[in-house]
Amino acid sequence: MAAPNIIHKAKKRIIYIMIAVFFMFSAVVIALVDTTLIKGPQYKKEAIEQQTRDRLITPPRGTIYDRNMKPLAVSASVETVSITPKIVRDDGFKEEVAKLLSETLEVDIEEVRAKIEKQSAYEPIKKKVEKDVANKLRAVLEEKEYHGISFEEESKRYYPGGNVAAHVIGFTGTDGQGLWGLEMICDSVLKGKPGRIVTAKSGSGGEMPYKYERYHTPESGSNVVLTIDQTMQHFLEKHLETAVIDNKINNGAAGIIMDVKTGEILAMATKPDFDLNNPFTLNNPQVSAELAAIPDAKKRQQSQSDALSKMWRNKAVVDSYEPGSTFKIIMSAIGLETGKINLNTSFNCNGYKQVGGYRIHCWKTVGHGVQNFVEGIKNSCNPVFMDIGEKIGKEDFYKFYKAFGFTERTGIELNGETTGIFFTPQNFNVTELATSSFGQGFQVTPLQMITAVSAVANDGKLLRPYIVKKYTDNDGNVIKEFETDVVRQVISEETSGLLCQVLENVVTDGSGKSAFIKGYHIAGKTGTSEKQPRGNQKYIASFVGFAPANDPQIACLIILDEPEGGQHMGGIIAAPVVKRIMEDCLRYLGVEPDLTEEEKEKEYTVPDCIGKPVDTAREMLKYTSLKYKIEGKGEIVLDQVPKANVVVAESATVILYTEERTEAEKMVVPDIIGKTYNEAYKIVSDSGLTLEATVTEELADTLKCVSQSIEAGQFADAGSVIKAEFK
Amino acid sequence: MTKHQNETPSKKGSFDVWLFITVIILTVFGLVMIFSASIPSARAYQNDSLSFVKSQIPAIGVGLVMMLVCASIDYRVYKKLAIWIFVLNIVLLLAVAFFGSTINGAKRWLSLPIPGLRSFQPSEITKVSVVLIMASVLSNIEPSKQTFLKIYTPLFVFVGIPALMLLKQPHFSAIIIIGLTVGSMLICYGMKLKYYLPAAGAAVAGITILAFTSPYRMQRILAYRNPFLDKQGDGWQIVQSLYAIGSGGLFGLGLTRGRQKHMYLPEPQNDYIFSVICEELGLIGGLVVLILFVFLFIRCMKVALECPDPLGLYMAFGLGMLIIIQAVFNMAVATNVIPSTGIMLPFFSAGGTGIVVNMAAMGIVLNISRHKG
Repeated sequence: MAAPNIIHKAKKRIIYIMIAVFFMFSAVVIALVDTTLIKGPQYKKEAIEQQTRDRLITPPRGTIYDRNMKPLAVSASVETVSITPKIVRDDGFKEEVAKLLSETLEVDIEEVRAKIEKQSAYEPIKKKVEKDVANKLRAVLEEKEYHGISFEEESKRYYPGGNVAAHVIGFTGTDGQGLWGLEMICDSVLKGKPGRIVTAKSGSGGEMPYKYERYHTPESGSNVVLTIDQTMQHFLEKHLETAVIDNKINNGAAGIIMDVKTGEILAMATKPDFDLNNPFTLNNPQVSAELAAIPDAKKRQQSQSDALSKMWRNKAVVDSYEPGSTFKIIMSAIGLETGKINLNTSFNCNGYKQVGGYRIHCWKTVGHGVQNFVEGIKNSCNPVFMDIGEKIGKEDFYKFYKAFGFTERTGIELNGETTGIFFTPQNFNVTELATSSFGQGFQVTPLQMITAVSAVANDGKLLRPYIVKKYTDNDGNVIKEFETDVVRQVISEETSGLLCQVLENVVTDGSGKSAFIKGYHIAGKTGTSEKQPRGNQKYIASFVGFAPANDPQIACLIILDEPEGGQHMGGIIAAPVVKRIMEDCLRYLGVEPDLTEEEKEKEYTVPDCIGKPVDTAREMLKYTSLKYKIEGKGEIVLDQVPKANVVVAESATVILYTEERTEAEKMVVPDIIGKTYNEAYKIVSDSGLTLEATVTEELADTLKCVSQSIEAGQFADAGSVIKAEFK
Repeated sequence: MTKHQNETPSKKGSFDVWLFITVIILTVFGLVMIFSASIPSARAYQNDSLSFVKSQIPAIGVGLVMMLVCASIDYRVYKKLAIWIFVLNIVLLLAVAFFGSTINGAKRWLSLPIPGLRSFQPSEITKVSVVLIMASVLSNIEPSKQTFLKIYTPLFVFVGIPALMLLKQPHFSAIIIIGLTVGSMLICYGMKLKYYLPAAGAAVAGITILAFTSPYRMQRILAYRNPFLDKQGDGWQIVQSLYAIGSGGLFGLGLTRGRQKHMYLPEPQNDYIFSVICEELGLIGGLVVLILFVFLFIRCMKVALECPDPLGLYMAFGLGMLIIIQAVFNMAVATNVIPSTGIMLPFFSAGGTGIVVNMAAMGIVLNISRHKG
């Protein structure tokens, strides 16, 4: 065997093969450098993307309170239930899990099955699941040891008042974004800053054994405290609602109560209203039925959204109207301020006035004859005001019209505010001036009107109306407070004082008589305007007033759009509404009635009827000869308005409530003893009340309630705070 | 360093210490990486995070003994012993065909009642057995007297038969490795150029038929060309491997800190252990492993080059090539230089038979290293 030769040749070939192998190694080295250093950063980024789960944590949305810290919009904790499909599949209980989820969460089983089969790491099954449902589900999952189902905290908006101040408060969408009203306007304040949790997940969607978690703390939203007083809001809404029903109001009604001295909106309502807890449900079944009958889906959808925006529209700031005779307050103010008239200026009314070739009639066609200014406004005589307009002239008219704020938005924190409509300077001539003098031909918004009238009542100072009082944090600290903003002095204090007296006369002895309340000095003016086009018998009846006349505190405006109950005069249908509202509000505000000796004799102290059988209460009231009204069908009096020992005039009516009052009024306190904080929170929120307790988040599911400040079964005002102790 | 021994060529010298050290380093390094890479899968599938390590340690023990035993047995015995090892291996392959257990659709394992060697993989033995018998065959045919039949008859018997049996399992990657190793041995032997034609033709035809008959092989080739096209499907494992290597950067995320082994990489303790190494120890760690293999390769080739006897030369060369082809191919798959196929990284991949056989093979080379020309 020629071994050396063979070996010599073999060795050469080994070297060649080694070179070939080194080439292969080099290829791997090049690929390695390329993968780690050149494409590495990109690969790493993509790898981290697939390895992590980035979840947003929405902080609890701030609460909206009324001025007395009664909650109007609160957020409660709810949960999102989701699955990790692969884990559910690998777990081997696909069908059982699908059935369980579809039954407990009330979702379509096919949908759940489809989601379980999906090739993804995360599939939400249902959002906004109530705490008790989630807890029940959790218990079952734990017991049966099913895996791959997860829960995430979220918040859901509740409106304890339901329909109360619906147009003002507004609502949020399913994603918690403010969509309407103050929820929308104050969204950035309420929502806070969302946080994030970044967690690692394995390829099968499971958790990583390592602690790989980054937490970006969410910033809680601030609370918004309104100038609204829930009680006065309730008075306004109650009486407005009654007026809408009694007078068959066709196109809705609006009402505003404003603090004359501060510009704070104490109450603002639009009727008909809607339930904030179901804002997408139409309030009118007839409209819903009509919509359902539209065959074309696109048109139906369009009509549906039109109907909804109409329902949500805050008439008090959005819908402008012809103020009619209520504008005579402003005309009087301008007349007196410019010195063109005084209280004794004499006017003559033949039933019409000839202006620029037109004969413009007084509402009393036979005429009022000779009358002074005070008589003129009491009679609401149109020719008197046309004369005043003539004396003032269009320059001064427009100057003051502007000064009273009618040409611009008031700037209130509400959506959709409009400016009203006025003539262009070229179109504003004698005829227009004449009709404008009694409030016809131009349009203002209800809010502009009450703001202007409040200026008359408030020593001539025009204030910016506002509805947001302050922002607070969760510890009650004030973050920002809004203050009274004097826009300008429109008329002098003297003119204001003079006019207050005159306007009280209108109520005691003039067209606004129906607004008269014994013992309270109410000043105001009625208004009735025929809607455009004229002659179609559609009217807007209104009344704007303030009280007490000698020291004005609150102003109230009521607008009834298209009354079809036979009467359409503001003096007949709107004034009594304002009277009832004022009566309730002044008493609530503790304004002492200013009674004459004669009147005082007929004053009564309201007896305490609470807890008494209805028959006994009835006897007691008959004895005092007070009028009474029983609300509800119960046998025991649960509550009364006014409260016991309040001194009222003879004409007052005592309302006896024998049933749990509607959710806007009274709530039954639930039993929360023995419940955990989270359970109790949900129960109490659902009852329209507020739970107050100091419990840390970790213990919210373990500590049990040992005491509650208001006993179960008692009644409490909506939003009342129930203090509870947890141990 | 061993030049002084050249003076006494026929005498036995000491064995190549560097080769021995390299094998030990690779084995220990491998065990550490198996520990790190296997925990998630072990936890998920075996309910014991150390299950892979626990079966690997006794196998390493056996491997160490085998290496020392082989190092002390004169390699020339294989001239006669090789045929019996071959026959024994055929018997084992038959046993697999009849009694083997199937994992992931492949019937490659024999369940042994020996603790720590729960599954025994005869195809690993096949690789070494074929190298031994081919070295023995080639050393018997003087290159100048080679004929087609003299070469192809043993090729048919000693490569063809086991290849067919592996095809049945199926264990395609083992066939490729055996084919390439035997091919390199034939080159080293100096087979006549024209004799390559039928073998190359058969290989090309075989690969083509296999690629087109089994749709998954075709898909793997497509995925190789652009793995990101079907990231969630066929491209999954390549993409996951690239993500792992890319995540490591220059210095890596740190030992045990890899993320891709958590149910992203398939077989992180096995086929894709190199990706885990790169993710945890970075480019540096990957290069260290690569350099260790290059060094091992050089030592093996040095043994072959210094061997005065064709049998020892072919054997040392063949066994060195066997290890290195697997190493290069495994790393090339991890970095997507070649289409993916299940090839283990010698000394690193978890698997008892593999480590025992590889260490035994290195034992044989160590013995050859004592004979220098």
